[in-house]
Amino acid sequence: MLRVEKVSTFYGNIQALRDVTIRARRGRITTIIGANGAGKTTLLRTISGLTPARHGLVLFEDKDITSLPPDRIVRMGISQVPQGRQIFSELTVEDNLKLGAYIRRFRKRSDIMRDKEFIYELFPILYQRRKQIAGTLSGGEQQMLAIARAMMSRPKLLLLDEPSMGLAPKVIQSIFKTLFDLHEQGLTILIVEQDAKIALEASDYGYVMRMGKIALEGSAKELLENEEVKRIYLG
Amino acid sequence: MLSLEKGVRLPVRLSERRYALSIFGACAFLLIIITLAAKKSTGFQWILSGLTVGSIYALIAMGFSVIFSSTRVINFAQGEFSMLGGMLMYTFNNYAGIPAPYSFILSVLIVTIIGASFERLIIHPLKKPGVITVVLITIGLSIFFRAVAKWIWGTDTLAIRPFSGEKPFRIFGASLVPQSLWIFGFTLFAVILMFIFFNRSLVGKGMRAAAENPEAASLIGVSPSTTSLVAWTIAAALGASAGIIIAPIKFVSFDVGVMLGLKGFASAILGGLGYAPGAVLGGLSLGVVETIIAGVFPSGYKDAVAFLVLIVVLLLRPQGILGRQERLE
Ligand SMILES: Nc1ncnc2c1ncn2[C@@H]1O[C@H](COP(=O)(O)OP(=O)(O)O)[C@@H](O)[C@H]1O
Ligand SMILES: [Mg+2]
Repeated sequence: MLRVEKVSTFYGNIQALRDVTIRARRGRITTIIGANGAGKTTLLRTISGLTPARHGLVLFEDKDITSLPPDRIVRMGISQVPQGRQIFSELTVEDNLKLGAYIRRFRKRSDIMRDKEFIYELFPILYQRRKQIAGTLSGGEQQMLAIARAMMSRPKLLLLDEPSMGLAPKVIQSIFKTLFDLHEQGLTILIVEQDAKIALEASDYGYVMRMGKIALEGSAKELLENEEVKRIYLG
Repeated sequence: MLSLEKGVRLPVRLSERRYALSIFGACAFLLIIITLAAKKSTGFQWILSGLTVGSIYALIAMGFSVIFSSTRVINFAQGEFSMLGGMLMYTFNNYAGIPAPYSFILSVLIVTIIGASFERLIIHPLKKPGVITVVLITIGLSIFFRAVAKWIWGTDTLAIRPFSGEKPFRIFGASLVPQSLWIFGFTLFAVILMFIFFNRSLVGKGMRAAAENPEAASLIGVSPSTTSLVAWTIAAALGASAGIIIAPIKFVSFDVGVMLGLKGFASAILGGLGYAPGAVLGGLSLGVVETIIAGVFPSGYKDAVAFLVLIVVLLLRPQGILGRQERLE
């Protein structure tokens, strides 16, 4: 579904990605692990069009999206839950969700209402907090809101950048459970994590990034058993 | 690039904030005393006249705020939208004899189209221009607009007919021209419209989202290019209307945009740039303060007030009286 081919991305003169090639297959969960500064966020930013690749190609459903702007890429069906959640903290929870459906604003209202109800069933806590200003939510709730907002665009592919960052293990469990539910319903997921056990266990395939390159790749099972991966990333 | 683009963290500590607020409080108190000490009717007159010009400043300040919050650019051509509005109104209404309501709509429409085209034809084609680049372009634009206006309309001061009659009302011993009522009414209308747009419509909320976090907004599909176009369109419409409704009271000439723009800018700063309700409050306060000062001191000092206010606010409370600190994310 998504193919990233030999992509190199730069911040000014600093090269953050070197010839990165990955795939995310339809209906699967793909995980990318790597230490801080390995280039995971940059890879997702490149896919979403925030920092377009200088060399290489990004193909989504066989269409070249390498140099499309972010808003066009969302419209094509790729939604990102960015690192650090990046919810709109001055708006209400409900407004954050409505904005998630921004690209569908010309669609029937009833469709969007239905999706909102679906999201509220998925995250009942967000329903309780729907009138609250998003900035007042706890970290876990903000992460749920970020995922909920991304889902409101009805993506085919969901990109997640370290969704477990800074959260308690119990909250992480609950968020991943929801993600796996969504996956069961047909969502394709590409997830980036530093601490990746829970993500890898549910994935089919994984990549290890180091210094802007893909250092290792393989089935999730292989990676989980790899001595080096175990030692460095699964602690 | 410039730190402005990400939003600047303004290091104002709480004690300083309290200090700043108390200074503003003291000034307000002083003004109230002056107003009360004057003959009652004179004081009331100052407030009415102050709110009249203040409404104009508020409209122009909202234009500054909308563009600033969406694109981090200070549009130094904002005042010229008002000048063009007034000039076109003169041409359509006084010169061509088109009835005032139609002239008004026509003039606002043309200036709005000019503002939108400027954004599309000059700013949009620049791929990711720096903030300073765009600010410099707007300064160039303002010079260009003034030159064109001078060429078309000359240097004369032109008078525009009030929308309905010139006979002042008397309220509590003060007098109020009917045009002031038009100004109050229109300003209220514009503020309500802005409120509905930014708080009820999805596109408006998207613009607020983009003001808070442009990247996150682009990830949900809010295109920065659309946001910028809408902001310029709104700012041009606000500026043009302000210039038209004030023209029957203050006249219009090719260079009125300079002063109106600077006053609007000072108001926007006073209220906290980027925060629309602040712009309205800033505009009204500046209008009243300025009028009272003009009543007490020789009128030549009046225009200096705006700049004094500007300097004091920037020194003491750079985020404005109501404004919140910008967050660096
Ligand atoms: N905005 C930026 N400007 C310059 N360099 C950056 C920027 N963002 C990230 N980098 C650099 O790119 C590299 C990869 O960063 P990032 O993609 O954030 O890694 P990760 O998400 O794996 O922690 C790092 O060396 C980082 O210093
Ligand atoms: Mg990262």
